[in-house]
Amino acid sequence: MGSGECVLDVRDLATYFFTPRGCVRAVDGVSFSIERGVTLALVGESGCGKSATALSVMRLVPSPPGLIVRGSVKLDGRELLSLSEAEMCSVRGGDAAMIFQEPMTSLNPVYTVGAQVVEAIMAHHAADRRKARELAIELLHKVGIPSPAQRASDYPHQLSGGMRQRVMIAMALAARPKLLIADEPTTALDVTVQAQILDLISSLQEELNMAVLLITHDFGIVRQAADRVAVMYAGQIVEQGSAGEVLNSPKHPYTRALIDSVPVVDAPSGTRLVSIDGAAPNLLDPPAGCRFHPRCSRASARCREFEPELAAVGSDTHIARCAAGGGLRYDC
Amino acid sequence: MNVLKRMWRLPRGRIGICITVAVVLVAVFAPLLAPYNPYDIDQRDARRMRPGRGHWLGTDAFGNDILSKLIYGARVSLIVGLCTGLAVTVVGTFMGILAGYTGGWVDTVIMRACDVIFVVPGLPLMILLANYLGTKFYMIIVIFTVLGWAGMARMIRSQVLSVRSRDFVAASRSIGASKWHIMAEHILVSVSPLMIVNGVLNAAGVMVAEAGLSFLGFGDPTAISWGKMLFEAQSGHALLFGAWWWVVPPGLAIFVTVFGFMMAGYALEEVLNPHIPRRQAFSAMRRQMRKFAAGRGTCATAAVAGGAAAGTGGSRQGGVTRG
Amino acid sequence: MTVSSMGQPLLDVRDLKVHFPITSGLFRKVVGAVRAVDGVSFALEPGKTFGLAGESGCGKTTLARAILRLEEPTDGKVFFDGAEITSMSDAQLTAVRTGMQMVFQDPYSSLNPRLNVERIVSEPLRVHRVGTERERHERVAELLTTVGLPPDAAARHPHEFSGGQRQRIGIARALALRPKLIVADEPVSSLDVSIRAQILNLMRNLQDELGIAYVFIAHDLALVRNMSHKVGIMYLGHIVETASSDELFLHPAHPYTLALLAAVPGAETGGRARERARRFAPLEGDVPSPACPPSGCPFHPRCARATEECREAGVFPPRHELAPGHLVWCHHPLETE
Repeated sequence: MGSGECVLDVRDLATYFFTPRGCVRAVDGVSFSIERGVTLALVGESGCGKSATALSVMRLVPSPPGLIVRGSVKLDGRELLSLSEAEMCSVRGGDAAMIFQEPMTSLNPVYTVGAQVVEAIMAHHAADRRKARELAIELLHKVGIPSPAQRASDYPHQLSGGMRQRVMIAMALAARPKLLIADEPTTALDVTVQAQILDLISSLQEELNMAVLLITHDFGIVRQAADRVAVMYAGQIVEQGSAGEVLNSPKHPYTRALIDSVPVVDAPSGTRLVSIDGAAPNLLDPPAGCRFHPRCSRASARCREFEPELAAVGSDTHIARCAAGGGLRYDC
Repeated sequence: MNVLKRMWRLPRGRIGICITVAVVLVAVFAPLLAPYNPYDIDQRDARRMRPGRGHWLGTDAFGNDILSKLIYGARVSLIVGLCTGLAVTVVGTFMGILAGYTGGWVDTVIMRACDVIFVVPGLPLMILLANYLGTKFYMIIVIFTVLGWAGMARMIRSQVLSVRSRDFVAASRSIGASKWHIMAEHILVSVSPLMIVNGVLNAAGVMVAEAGLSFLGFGDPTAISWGKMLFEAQSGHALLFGAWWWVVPPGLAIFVTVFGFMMAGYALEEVLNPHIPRRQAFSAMRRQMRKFAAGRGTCATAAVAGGAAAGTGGSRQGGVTRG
Repeated sequence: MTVSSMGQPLLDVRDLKVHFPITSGLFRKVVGAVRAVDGVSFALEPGKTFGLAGESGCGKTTLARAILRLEEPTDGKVFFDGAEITSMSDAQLTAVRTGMQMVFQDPYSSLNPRLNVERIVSEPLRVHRVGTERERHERVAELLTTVGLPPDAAARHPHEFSGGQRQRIGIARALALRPKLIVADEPVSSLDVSIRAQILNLMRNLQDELGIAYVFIAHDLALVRNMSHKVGIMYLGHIVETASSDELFLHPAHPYTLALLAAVPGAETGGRARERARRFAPLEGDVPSPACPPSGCPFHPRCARATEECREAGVFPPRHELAPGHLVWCHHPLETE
């Protein structure tokens, strides 16, 4: 675990999208913090607000229709939400960097990858172009690109998906950020390449002592790469704790069901999977009370009326948003 | 019907429908609406009369009532426009689907034919054909169709190529469906919005082209059309006499009709392809956002009326914060 | 194993090859070929599931489409229910196609957005002229109930449904002609995690009730193990290892299978094979292009155990039968304890 120095502190963040059909509460009161050297995984299904949370932290929510309606995002003690757009630009790619799911669309197809890394370096360091190019090749080497001097003059389409993601990481690391946000960084990649990229991210994290916000839907990745986990459902964090706590003794029925619904490679063939009935709620009109109650097998009348708060369950780092509180006991 | 209703909700759809319906009604009921017989030359010896009582839009050099000519002229413009639009749509769609879905030499032959039509200069060919085939208005329809199907075919073909690679076509093939079944069941319905919208816009374009051909004196000499009225105004030295009422009414009629068709066409496009973000929906969203940012609105009141879902486009600026 | 006791296999793929020509220049001269599928053989008994796993570009989707003759095979034979379908004319094929259907990966692209569910699900019935209009209508309602959708879904359009429901519609369409075989190409990979289990359980229930055999294609090894009776691991157009599902995952013998297992994230829950896999060096580099596959064993450039023998041009590694039904194509298979 990290040194305890808090890099990112998000408090009661809420981001709404104003669509013709109504107001979508994509992020609705999310709080978490990440210390130096720690990886927090934000887990959830599509539409749960995990990407919107990441974009809100970087203030990249498309506006309109998106709007950060309340909350605070502090990076190293500095409030990001009150910065001007120009100041924010120097934060993005500076102290906080982000990599995306699809590296092909994030790279500009008409420039060589070397030129794009040089651009990223020069945006934050007043270096001359030759120096920046040397630095770029060093960075490409660092992210594990073989013969980086030659690859630097390739165009993005000449590289494989894994290599492109490495280039994205090189660009993100150009200014030695304190916070790296990785939004589904390996979803578009093959499983063997995914393992390489995850290894790369964690070794770079160790070297630069970064805080990492890892956004994913895959509990396998969480198990492998995360120190702490926050599970999101319908715009809210429903459970948060250390990776071991959440994965091994989930306290929220949703977390529990999500983990059990995914087949595990070590389980024998034909193992029955637990399925969660229904589909994620429409955030235009989320259900009253606990947002998970329509799909929850343990829902009581109380769950339909009262919205539960996040409360400590078991240890003091483990919190869950369930009316049953810490009282949820599982047989195993 | 549903489509018309949804078009009516859009301002441009309403304008388009109103104008189109009005022009059609005028054309259909021309004999009832026209105060005089426009073919009746030398009416009561009233040549070159200014607009006024009796002749609201004046008379031309032969004494024909301009208003009556204008009303009858709607018939030719509409018939030529609609018939050509229909013919171009049918021929172009058929050729486009055949070329796009069949591929191979069929595709090559059809596309090379399109290329030939594209590189041939249109206007001289039209004039040439008009001279050979005669200038009866149905011949004009044939000429416009021959020159017009290629653009439609090309557009439909490119759409077919993208639809063809979709999984539902593979699904249909995997159940043993024949080529003709797939073209009719899947390809045609997929290209139909493009087909209808472009058919309507094509009709508008043909109306302008027909006016142009008539203006040059290659229109049907026996029928009154708005283009021919302009031609007569030109040959009768309207500007020399300062006879604006010879020029303005037919010009305005062409403009308004084509404008109406275009508006209807664009509205149709918006209704049939709901993925195009709606501008007014965005502005309503912006208003709601500003209200929210000012602390006046609540999420419940922020619900904006409007049917179609808008995309989440827009500029990538930082969000406005209330703090 | 049960291979011989079941008698004739439902699907028998023998040395199937699908090559796509690479053309260049004005006259489309053929300058090479992408060997998407390059000699694949396997057999599938009625009511069982054959799982195909591999990374993108390994040819698993092309293989699926070639089995249904959506791609024309370059060479090799496919027998379905005893009849050779690779040499059939289109007309003969139409009759066979009632017995084999496909479920697609992308439930958005595989349903025509302009047709309503009734038309989509009844399409196979209409193409094969099954029943009257009324009977087809009743069959559609029955099929929708089978896949867990309300019968009133028939009048609605695909965009009104979520991804999971759309995939149910796709399955209903595949079931319409009571097929014996369904080829499912990544049927859940575009669905949300909590929805996947619903679809997988539905597929398994259908197998139990209707005796349908599946060719189940996925890149997720856990999914393949869970759903399949037999598994084939594909690499660059070849099946490099095949065995019954648990056998393959407990005793992987091909270095590539082991590397794939090692790469599955979330190592804490490792079984014995995974323990071994993690000791093994992680896989480096990317999958080579199938347009110019490495000579010899296609896996040798990434393999830690590769020797001169493996690099030898033109020689594909020999087949070893390690246990009944457990085949591996490798010069140096890992010993299974």
